[in-house]
Amino acid sequence: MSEILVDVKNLSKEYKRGGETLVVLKDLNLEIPKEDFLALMGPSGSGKSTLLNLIGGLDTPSSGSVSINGERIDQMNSKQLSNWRASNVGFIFQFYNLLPVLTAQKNIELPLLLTNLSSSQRRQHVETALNIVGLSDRSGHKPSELSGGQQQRVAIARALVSDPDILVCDEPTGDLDRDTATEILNLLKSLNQDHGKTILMVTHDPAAADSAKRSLHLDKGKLAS
Amino acid sequence: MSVIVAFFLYGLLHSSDPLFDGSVGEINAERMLTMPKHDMMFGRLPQSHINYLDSIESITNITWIDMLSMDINSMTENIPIFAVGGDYFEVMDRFKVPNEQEEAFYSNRTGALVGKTAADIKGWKVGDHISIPTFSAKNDGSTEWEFDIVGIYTTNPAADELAIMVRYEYVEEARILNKGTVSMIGFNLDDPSKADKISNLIDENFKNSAYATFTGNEIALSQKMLSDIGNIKFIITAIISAVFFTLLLVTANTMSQSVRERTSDIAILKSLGYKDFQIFTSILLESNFIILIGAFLGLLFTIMTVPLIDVASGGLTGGIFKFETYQFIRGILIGILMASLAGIWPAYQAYRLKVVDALAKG
Repeated sequence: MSEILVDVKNLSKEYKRGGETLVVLKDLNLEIPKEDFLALMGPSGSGKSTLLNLIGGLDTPSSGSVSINGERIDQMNSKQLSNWRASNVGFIFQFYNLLPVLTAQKNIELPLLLTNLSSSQRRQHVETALNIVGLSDRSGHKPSELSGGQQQRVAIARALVSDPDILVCDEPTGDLDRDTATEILNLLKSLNQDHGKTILMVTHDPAAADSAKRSLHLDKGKLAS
Repeated sequence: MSVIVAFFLYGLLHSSDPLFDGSVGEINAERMLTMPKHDMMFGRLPQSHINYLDSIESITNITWIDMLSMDINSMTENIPIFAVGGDYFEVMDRFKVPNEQEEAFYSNRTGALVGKTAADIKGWKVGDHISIPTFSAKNDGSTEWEFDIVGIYTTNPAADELAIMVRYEYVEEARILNKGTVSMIGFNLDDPSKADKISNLIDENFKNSAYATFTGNEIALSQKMLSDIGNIKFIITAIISAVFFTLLLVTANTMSQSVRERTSDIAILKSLGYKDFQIFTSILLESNFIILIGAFLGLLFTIMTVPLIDVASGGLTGGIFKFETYQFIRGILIGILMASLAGIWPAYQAYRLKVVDALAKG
């Protein structure tokens, strides 16, 4: 069996809303091996995005542990989490979330500005990422000059550029038409198969989930299967 | 744009500081003046005051000055006439006139020394016979005063060159009204450190008289005259403060709005690994960048405009309006303070922003 990259144990997440406590995740256990491509499905409010945020180090659990590559990220403070995110995880969002004033190249370069790489090294990394997503000829374009699919490719390149262990995707095809969605899913599959990236993808779309190696269903904060 | 205008206004208003702190041209604290306490502009002092001052041992030179009544609304049209007596050029030694012209002035009853600016404007030269209309009537009923130009004087500030100096004796003899009085008395002391003591002595002496006096050095007097009009420096400071306060509110609001509109961008930067403090600093820097660019341009316009005031006045302001390096630096420091105040709350909001909440809101 492959080495475990993500190890989630007895994970719970609660939110306080007024006087009420809302339990989003309850005693959840999950292992994701390296180079896995896991689709996480479930109805709205089932806790998919919350689990994604916890694994991506954007949020901290109420109890339980989250280990990525052997590191307990649930025990990290805000600064440590920022450092960890910068080099270990790449995020891909439904609405691409590119900075509108920057070109594709500059958007992709953003995570690298936190590293000690020289300008030419950064440029080289960006070119590699653009090549992988097939957008080398669009590097000078701003997001408003790109189609939805192209913007998502830029977002994927941005997630890739720092060569993270895991890509965390929240509805990456949710805002795209079927053909473009298929292209993006093929790209993700290629990143998983050819580049060995571990991918955790939240989706409502069964067709998108079919692109993954395996699927899990969340319901009311618990894994259903 | 509003930042540029605010700092331009700041620079322009502060360039007039010398007017209010008395540091104009060669005006200094060693020339003493005694003036009517309750009406410095139009009040009178009897000649007997001159005799009293002259009897004070520490006073070395003494002069007295009067002004003929005239329409001063158009000073370049009707040049003001000052009747001077006593040791005028010893006391008011910032007025320079060649020795032979000074001698000619004292040896000619109707002699007049004309300021260089006035001479330039009017095209007057030594030897000219001039006739000036005034509101001061002469014994013969005429209000037209005639003089012979015997010299041209220069001084700093150049605004003081827009005048004619004539002999007090001639004016005193020829006029009907205000006989036996002067507008002010000037004097020098043998020791400048006695200024306060002598000023008190004079003012105490005339305290209960109908002609109470206010004695002080040239700077103190010019400040008192301005304060009689109103606390202009305070008004200017209040205007600038109001402008900056409004600007602060506008900038703070703009920055807050700008940060709110970029909530999603900030969340993305945080998700990419940017630390809270880096975001905080970048927003403060942005606020500083916006305001300091505006401040720099506004102050630059001031630096370019101030010399134009002098040119536009035909040199009359004589370099009174100055924008010094320290005022420029103070402007930049005010800019930094404003930018920091305007940016600190939005920066703190961005610092506190939780990525998950921000992304959930889209």
